[in-house]
Parts: sequence; C-alpha cells; structure tokens
Amino acid sequence: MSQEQKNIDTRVTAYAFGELSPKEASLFEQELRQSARLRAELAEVRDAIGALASEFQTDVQEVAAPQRAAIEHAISTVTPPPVTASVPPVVRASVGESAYRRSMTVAVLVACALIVVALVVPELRDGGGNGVAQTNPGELSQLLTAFNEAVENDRLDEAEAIALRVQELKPNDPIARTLLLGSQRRSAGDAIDNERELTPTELETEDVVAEQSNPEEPNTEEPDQRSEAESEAASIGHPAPPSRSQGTEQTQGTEQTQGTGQTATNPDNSVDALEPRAGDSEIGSADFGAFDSSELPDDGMDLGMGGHSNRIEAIADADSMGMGMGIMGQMDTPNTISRPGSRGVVERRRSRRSSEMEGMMGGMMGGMLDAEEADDMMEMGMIFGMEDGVDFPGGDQYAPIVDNPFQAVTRSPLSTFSVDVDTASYAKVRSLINQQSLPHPNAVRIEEFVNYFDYDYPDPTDKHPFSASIDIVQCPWNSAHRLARIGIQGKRLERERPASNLVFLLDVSGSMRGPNKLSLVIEGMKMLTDQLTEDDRVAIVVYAGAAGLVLDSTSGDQKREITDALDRLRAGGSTNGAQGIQLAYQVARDHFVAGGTNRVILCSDGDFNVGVTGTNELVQLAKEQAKSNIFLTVLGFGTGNHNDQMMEQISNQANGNYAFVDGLTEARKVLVEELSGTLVTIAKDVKIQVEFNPGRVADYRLIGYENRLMAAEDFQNDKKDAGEMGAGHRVTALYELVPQSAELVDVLKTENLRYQEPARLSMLAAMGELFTLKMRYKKPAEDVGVEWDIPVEDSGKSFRNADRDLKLAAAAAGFGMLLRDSPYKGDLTMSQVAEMASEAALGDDFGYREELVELIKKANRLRGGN
Amino acid sequence: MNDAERLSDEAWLSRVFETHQRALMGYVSQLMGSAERASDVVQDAFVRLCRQPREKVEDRVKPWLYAVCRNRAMDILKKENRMRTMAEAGSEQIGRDSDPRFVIQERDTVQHANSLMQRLPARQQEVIRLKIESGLTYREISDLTGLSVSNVGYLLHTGLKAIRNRLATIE
Repeated sequence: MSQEQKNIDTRVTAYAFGELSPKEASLFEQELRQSARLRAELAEVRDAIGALASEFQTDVQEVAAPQRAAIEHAISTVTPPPVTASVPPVVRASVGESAYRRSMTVAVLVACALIVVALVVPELRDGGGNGVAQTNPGELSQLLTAFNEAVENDRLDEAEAIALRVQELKPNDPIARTLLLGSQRRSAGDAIDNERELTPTELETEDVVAEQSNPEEPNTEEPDQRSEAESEAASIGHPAPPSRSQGTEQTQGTEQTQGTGQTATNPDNSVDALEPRAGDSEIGSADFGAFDSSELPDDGMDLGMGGHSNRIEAIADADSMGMGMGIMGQMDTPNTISRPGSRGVVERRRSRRSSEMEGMMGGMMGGMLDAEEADDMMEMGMIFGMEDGVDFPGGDQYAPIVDNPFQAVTRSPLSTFSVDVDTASYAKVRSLINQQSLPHPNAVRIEEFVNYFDYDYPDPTDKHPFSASIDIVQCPWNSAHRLARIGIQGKRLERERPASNLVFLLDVSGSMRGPNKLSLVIEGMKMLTDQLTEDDRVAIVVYAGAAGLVLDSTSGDQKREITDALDRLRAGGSTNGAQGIQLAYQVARDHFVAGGTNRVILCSDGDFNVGVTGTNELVQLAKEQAKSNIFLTVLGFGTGNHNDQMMEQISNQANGNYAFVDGLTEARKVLVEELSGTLVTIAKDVKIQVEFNPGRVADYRLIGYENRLMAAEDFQNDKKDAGEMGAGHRVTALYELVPQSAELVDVLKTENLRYQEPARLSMLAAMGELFTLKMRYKKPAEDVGVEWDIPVEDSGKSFRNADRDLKLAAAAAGFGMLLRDSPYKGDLTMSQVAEMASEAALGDDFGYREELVELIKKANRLRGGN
Repeated sequence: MNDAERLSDEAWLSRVFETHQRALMGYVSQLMGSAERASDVVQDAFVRLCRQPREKVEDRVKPWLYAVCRNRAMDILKKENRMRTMAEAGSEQIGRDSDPRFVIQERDTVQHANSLMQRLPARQQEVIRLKIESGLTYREISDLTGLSVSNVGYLLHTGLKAIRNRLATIE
C-alpha cells in the first residue's frame, strides 16, 4: 500500500465520521463522485461502523447497583434533597387470553377509567396546593374507584350512574361525556355481543409494591396508585434520581409527604399526564402525526394525547433510550439489564407499560384512517390500545384488530372500505405455523388471507380498469346466514409493461443476517433482475448505520453489474431507515421515467432501530412521494424481529403495497410472478361502498378489512386516500348477511326512537335486490374519482353449489376467523375449513391451495386436534 | 421550570450520569476486562465529579469524565500488572511493552468470543470505542490518549479495515 493510498483511505474513515474539515470534505466528495471504488469503500466503512455501534448497543453495561447507589448518594448530597420527581400514574387492563374475546365496548370503559384518573388528578393537585380542596377530590377518586368496580363486575347501570354523577361534579369536562358514552355504548353493545362470551373486565390499576411500604399507612383506597418513582424512592431510601424522569422535572416543588393521607391518586403522579409542555409537543406531534393536531378539538383530546406522549417520553428518558426505540417498540424485548430490588420491578413494569403505549399509538395510527371526531378517535384508539397492545409475547409487533361486528342495516345501511391487495399476513402466518407455532390473533388479517389466493374472476370488458363479480351463497358457518363474495379483478397487462425505474432500498443492518432475510432478498432480486430489460432501471440503496448507494441507477440489461452489486451485500450494522429512504427517493427522482413505473422497493425486517424515529416521518415521506408518482412497495422479511404494524402503515398510508416474504417461493411469487401487478398501478384510491337493502338484509358484517374501514361520507371525497390496485391484482371481500326474515336473538332490532319515525323503504327496496355495490377509483395520473355501481340479487345458492373460488375464499376467511378465535366463527371447525379448502384445491396449478389445506391441518394439530 | 432554565446541581449531575454512564461503562469495561471493576472506576469518577465546582467542569464534563476514568483504570491496571508480573514471573510471558492492556486483551478475548473487535490491538479497540460508542472527536481522543490526531485517524482506519474484512467473511 503506497503512502498516498493510505492517505486516501484514512480520509474515507475520517469522512464517514465527519472529521474532515469542510474544505477537505468537499474535495473528498468530488473524488467520491468519480470513483465507484471509493464509494464502495465508504459504504463498507459505514457498514463496519454500523455493525460496531449495534454490537455496542446489544452489550450495554450499566454501573452495578452498589456503585450506582453510591453515586446517587453522592449526587443527592450535593445540594439539599429536592422533591421527588414523578412518573405518571398507570391504570392498566390486565390482559389474558380472554382479551381477544372481550367486547370492544368494555374496552371503552377501561379507556374511560384511564382518563378519569387523569382528570381527577388535577383536582387533587389544586386542592393539595392550597391545603383546601376546592372541589371534592375524595369524592371524585371514590367515583373513579366505584366506576372501575362497576365495570369490573359488569354492573353497567351503576357505571352509567357514576358517569352521570361525574358529569354533575364536573359539568364542563369531556370526561363525563366519555364515561357516559362508554357505559351506554356498552349496554347497546350487549345485544351485538350476544354471541360471544363476555369475560369480566379485569380492570385494575397497577399498584406498585413498595418494598418498605409503611404498614400503618392508610391504604383504604383500592387500587393504590402511588407512582412508581415514589415507591422506588421509598425503597431505596432517598429521592429518585431526577434524571430518571427528565420529562417530569416540572413536578418538583410540589411537596409530598410520605406515608400520610395517601389518596387513591397522588397529586404528583399525573401532572405531566395533564400538562403537555412545549418540550413534549414535538414528540406528541411526531407520534400522532397521522392526525394533524389542529384537527383535534379542544376538549378531551389534548388531555388524552398529551398524556400519552408524555408518558412515552418519560419511559424513553427513563431508560435513556432513543426516542425511536421507545416508540418503535424495542422495549418489548426483555430488558436484559437487571437491577436489584425494587428497581428491577419498576424496570419490568415500565417496559410493559411502554408496550401498552405503543399499542395505543399503533391502534390510533393504524386503525383510525379517517375518523375525525375526537370521541371516535379517543374511543377507538383506546380500544385498540387497551385491548391487545399489552403483554405481547415475542419480538414481532402487530396492531390490534377487533373483528368487525354485525351492523343493523336500518341504522347503518352503508359499508365503506378501501381495497387492500396485501397478502403479507397469510405468508407470515404460514411461516409461523411451519415453525410449529400458532400466530398471535393480531397477526391474522383475514382480508389478506382471502386475497392471498388467485381467483378466476372475469377480466374487465368495459371502460373501467377492473371488473366486479358478486356471488351469494349460504354461509358455511351459520346456515341461516348468507355469504356474499365481491370479487374484483384488475385488468391484466396485454402488451409489454411500461419501463420501470426501480430503486431497491435494502436493510442490511445486523438484524437482517440469517438465511431468511438478506440472502433471500438477494436471491429474489436476482430472479427479478432476470426479468428486466434495457428499458428498465435498477438502483440499490442500502441502509444500516448510515445509508449508502451501492448501485447507482443501472440499465436492466447490465445484469452482471447488478448481480455483482448484490453479491457484495452483507448484513451488519444498525438501521437508519429514514436516511436510506430519503436517498432511495432521491435516486428514483433522478431517474424518473415519465409514463413508466417509478417505485421504491423497501426490503426490511422492519427493525428500524437507530437514529431518526420513526414511523411517522417515514410514512409522511412516502405519502408525499406518492403524490409525485413514486410509489412504495414494502417487502417484509424474517420473523422474530418483524415490525408488522409499522410496515403496514408505510404501505397503507403511502399508497404502497406490502408483502411478507418468507421463502424463495414467496420471493418468486412477489417479485417475479406478480412483477407486473406489483409494479404497474392501474387504479388508485379504490374504494368500495355497499348499500344494503333493509327490506332484504337485517344485518351485515364485513369479514376482515378492519383497518381499511372508511367513513361513509369519505367514499365520494377524492381527498381521502384509499388503496391502489396494480395490473392483474384481485381483491376479494366477503360479507356475512343476516336475511331480514331471520329471527335471530343476536340481531339488533331497530331502535325505538322517540323523535323519529322509522324510515320508509323506497320502492326499490321491495324489488328483491340485496345490496348495491358501488366502486370509486382514480386513474393513476388523475385526481378526480370515477364511480359506478352494480345492484345485486341473491340467487339462493347453497354453499355446496358454490364455485371453487368462493369455497376457497370462505375457507381462507374461516381459517383466519378460527386462528383469531373470532366471536363470529359460529360452529366452524378446523376440519370443516380443511374440507372446504380441499374441495377448492382441485385442479390447483400452482400448489398454493394445496398448501392452504396442509396449513390448516398443521394448525389444527398445533391446537391439539379439534 | 423547564429544560431551558438552569438545572439544579443535583439534576444536572443526575443528567450527566444518565447520559454518560453506559458509554463510560462500555469503555472502562473494555479497558479493565470486567464490568464489575469498571463500576468501581466509574463510581470513583462520578463521586469526584460531585466534589468539583460545577462551573469548572461543566463545559467539558465529558472529556473530564473520560480522562478521570482512563487515568484511574490505567493506575489500577499498572498496579495489578506489576503484582502479577512479580507473582507469575517465569510461568508466563507478560507484556511486550509496559502497556498493561496487553494482558487485559487476552481476558477480553475470552469474554467476548463473538465480538467483532476481538483480537484487535488494544489501542485500536480503545479508539474505536471512544469514537463510535462514546462519540468523542478525533481531537478529544487525542487529548485523552496522548496519541496524535493523525495517529487516531490511522488507528481508527486500520481498525475499521479489519472489521470490514471480518464482516465480509461473516456472511
């Protein structure tokens, strides 16, 4: 190695660390542009830095307990001991297996209770500050406790009464309204929920056991809600180090006397849950960026949301983890740093709590595509959060799903949703079952099960880019019901596909090591490369500790160059997804093919664990880029570290699509067989609205699509985004219908409205149409929606006479419902589903249907037979 | 009270502790070969920090902590090394120079069999950690270790080169 060579090389390293002077750096950048070798070397250096950084991160040492205590003592004796900083109070629903069966409405109540804590507390604080209670904090906290108890014991009338009392006490407070809504909703919900087993809500506040709790301490109120920080301080014997709660320092100055007059809520506890501060707003808006905060009404929402973001901050700070990590759920993984005594307890609880918060946020972001009303937002966000976001085993993360309930046609005749062509959930579940484990219910998105399979729907023949075929048969899991299948077939490409400008954005971080990850990506991409022509362009951007361009946009016939670049890829380092995605879009813009397909293809296990936080920034970016016709495909790889929820958001909100790749077969399916479909958009913002005829249908239930539901009024609103369809894509939706004549207990009757006459049926209602299917979409380059509709009648077919495709769709849906343990699964069993699937599998060319049969049998065995 | 305002001494110290303790522990553990012994060194440094007039150290608290930790660690290692050399002279060849870390390096290798850094020269390991985990600048590393800035750059570069080669063979 010559002296000069050495010189250049050290500059590469110095440049990667930002240690070159501005002048040196710009000189070096010039050289960098001219030398591919230098660029490759820089990428290597960054790779190495990323690999080391992630190694250091995984092997974190903390000062051992005795020494830590000595340091804390030294710090605390520097100045007179200040007042304990605090951590907000926690009310959490303990969630066991039964959680999935729990009714949504119960969860609303839980959520209400949570808010009550937050609202009761300022009262206490005000009172405590003056030494005189202004309102009656005791009564409020008692009401809270009573409300919790009532909910716990299913005494709904009582809960409602308490809610009314709260309203009386705090007439202007949104909490009362929320509580009331919750309790009333619950009563209404009972009818719907008739079919399922309602387990008692295990509402409990998290009481922290202080190791040296004072036995004489009046502890009349259950549950005990002293803050964790406080109990920690008590057990250690000196104030908790303020840095553990950097976000909460403003609580200092509130005097707190230990062991005297502990009330159910501690004045200090929730100060930060209630007062979003300037420092927090950044975090709040980043996390909840899916909604512009200006859309939020003044009441209620800011309290609730502010509270969450604060807590999350407190958690992130407490553990000195990056914001990103706190939010992205890295804390789900067990905290390996054990601390002695109560610290350990606090630590574990804290990480559980953080996952709970993630659940909430995930629920809000994932589930709330369009609801703008604060009440709805709050309810649903809470439902999702409280329902399942908690205690999630293992490393994978999913947004909670609550099965769509039956809707009465008289009350909501319109069912509106966005199409979804994703299939990732099925592939993911298949991979789990093949590894001998049953999926988490939230990993099962039924519409993605159904849409995984090829159905033989007729091609469109008219001016629309897709066709719709509808069939109605007897419902296989409830013979009194009907099953409606809506099958949409996107037009296939007749001639050559347009030129593609593809930028692969590959996660090469350490977590991508292993046979099912990076090497699979590389294999898949090689197969794809075979399909490309000279008109196509491919570029590869990698991201790890830092992002780098591995292959600048290269013509599709330079296969050697592309495969060489692929062969050079290695996993190592930690992830900075944000930088990588910026770079990828930049490359895509630089080589934009007008009239062609411009797409960034993100391949990751979703473990964006370093640097700029997360989801929202990425989602936002992808959304903006979609406006300039650069779309995003997200391919998920690997298990165990797979952030399903985040991956789905990126694709859902940014008009992209998303598939999970679990093996070479799937890589071929996604990258090669569906190449044309994945790459060419034929329609965007495709929405479906079904108007049911109350004369024929009493109730309906959309099976799946829980996170693609839209408000009825958004159907015609072209500003509201929905899913896109690619060439050859198919979308299948199933509705379970309760015929109007059926006399079922679980059918919700028309409400007895005092001020309204029951609506009269139109002439058409008597005509025998079951429903009208309305579809609205935009052509890829247009901004105005096109709409058409198809009226549908029931042919009265039995399930036996259903066609193969419908049987397959029903089997896929049924399998999903069983795996989710859906409350609507009726008398369905795994063997029945397997039977349906095998009938449908006859003459299957590609083996996907056979595979479903096998999978069902395996799942059945895993569940211990029937 | 908010972040922009001046923190109390205690809050400031706590923050400094929480901010730096992990990277310091990583660094000192590497020097000393064990987290237990590193804890003592780090404790020592923070207790001493508590006794410093804040205005004297506030602006350069990070280099200060690293310097104190490093000096302390080196003192301990030298002392041990001397004793060990005396006790085990003849049975084992010790130290090509007086740098006690060559001894430690062997221990380290045993502890982190999977580490990418294993068997790198001690100085390379040290600068790599100081740069990547602790985020010190070349200048700060130079001040801390007594190496020249260009020497720091050279060590980092050659160290990373070795890591790059290792990564290439891992896949």
